[in-house]
Amino acid sequence: MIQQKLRQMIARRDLFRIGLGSLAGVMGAAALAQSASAHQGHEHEEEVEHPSGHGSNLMVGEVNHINNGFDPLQLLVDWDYGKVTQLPDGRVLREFEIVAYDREIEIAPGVFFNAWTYNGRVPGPSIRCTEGDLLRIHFVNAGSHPHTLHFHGFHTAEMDGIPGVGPGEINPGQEFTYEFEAAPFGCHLYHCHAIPLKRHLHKGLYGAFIIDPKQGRPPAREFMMIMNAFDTNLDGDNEIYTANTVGFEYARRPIPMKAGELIRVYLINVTEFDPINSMHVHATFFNYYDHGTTLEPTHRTIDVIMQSQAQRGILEFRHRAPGHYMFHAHQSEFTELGWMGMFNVTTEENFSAALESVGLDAEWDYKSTHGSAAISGTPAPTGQS
Amino acid sequence: MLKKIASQLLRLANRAVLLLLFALFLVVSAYYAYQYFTPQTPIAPAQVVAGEFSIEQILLPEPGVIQVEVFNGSQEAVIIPQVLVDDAYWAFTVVPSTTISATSVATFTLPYAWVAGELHVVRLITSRGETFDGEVVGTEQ
Repeated sequence: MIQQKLRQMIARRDLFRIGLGSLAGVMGAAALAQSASAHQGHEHEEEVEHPSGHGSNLMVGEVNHINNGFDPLQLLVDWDYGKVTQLPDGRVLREFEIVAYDREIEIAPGVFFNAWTYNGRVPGPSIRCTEGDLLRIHFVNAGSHPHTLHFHGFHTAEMDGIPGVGPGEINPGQEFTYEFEAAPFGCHLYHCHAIPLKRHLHKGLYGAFIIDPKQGRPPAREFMMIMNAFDTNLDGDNEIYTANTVGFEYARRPIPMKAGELIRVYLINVTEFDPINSMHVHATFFNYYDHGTTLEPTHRTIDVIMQSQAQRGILEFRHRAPGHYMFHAHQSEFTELGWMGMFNVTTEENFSAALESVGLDAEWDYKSTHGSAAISGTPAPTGQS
Repeated sequence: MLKKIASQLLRLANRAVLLLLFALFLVVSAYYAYQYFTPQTPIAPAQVVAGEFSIEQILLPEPGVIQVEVFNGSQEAVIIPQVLVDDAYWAFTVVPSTTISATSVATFTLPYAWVAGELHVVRLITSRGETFDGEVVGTEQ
């Protein structure tokens, strides 16, 4: 009915123009009328799936993770330990290869973003090591603009990855090897520090940098979440907020976990254009370790944590009973723009089914429960849970 | 006698021809005057401006429903994969498709509890991340 009205409106507009117009106008109107009537032949209603989570507040469709080259469910657990060898003095040497290049990624179903990436993904690889390890990060800039690697941690000025100091910005086609000792232990990040800084961060050049304490942390199921956002129309405001790049992905595919087990989330905020971001976990309370640089919590029994840009920390909590439990930014605006997900808490018996329902397997289970760099260099066995 | 009648007929015919010629002159003059004084309005699709994609109108056909009518006046198809209301991504159906051909229309229907007397902002986001906004005030029941 409304379609017909709209066509009539256009037809009336055309008639008016024909009354006034030229031969070109008549031809144009004929073409438009043809275009409008062509739709009558195959008009259909494109149906939309409604996944669970937040009623009708959702993104329609699904992202093609294969085309993207990364899956947000895998980003939670795919720790990069580097190539591990032992130095003559007994220390562990970890060597990493990071290549910056431009790549289009799908950040919401059907919405594409011209990203700048580390190793073709946003966020870049989650570097994981133990305090005291020597890190050697070979950086190649295969992108279209100068870039750097700036790590949050102890290092010399030359290794700081900022313009004008040491190697400064690494130009396209050039490379540099950053080297420093991993310290202090904690939940850190790395990012590009080339200028303009906002643009280089917002385009996707950041990643997690997790340094485990030498004595380790209690066994837990561990996840890495980077709170990020995208200004798709480049007006200085974000159109999409999320954790690990794809809006509402964890609402479409809830993260599996078991009732009663300890959950540890390495949470990092790289959101541009907004002073803060936050995370709220439903139906439980967590202990929080600001920057992850202490073995004792800096906040106890809270259920919302706020982080400024580049602030990060570790959340530890347990869900007591099976069910779907929401987590999200507690800025409602961010929540409704994509930063919302669900935990699928199950019994031991139902856990395999929960994995399968979101396309995960025993290897993902292993990675999530054996994240510590103390087992680095040990390939995750397949078929083991 | 015959000669006189023939002469009168000839005079009448001449006058008719003259009248016809005068009428033709008036029509042609009027046409050119009209052409001269009337601005020539461009008409889609031949002269449509590239990127001229617009929200034509936003309707509230019943409580809990928003309909958004769009017109793609550009020369290329535009894909609208997501729709937002009041800064929130929202479920929708679309006729005929999220891919809107050049110089054609589409209608998006959203289940949204709009509020009488209050402003609502609808935003369409394209596959390239561009946005198009429209406003509607909830009608009183």
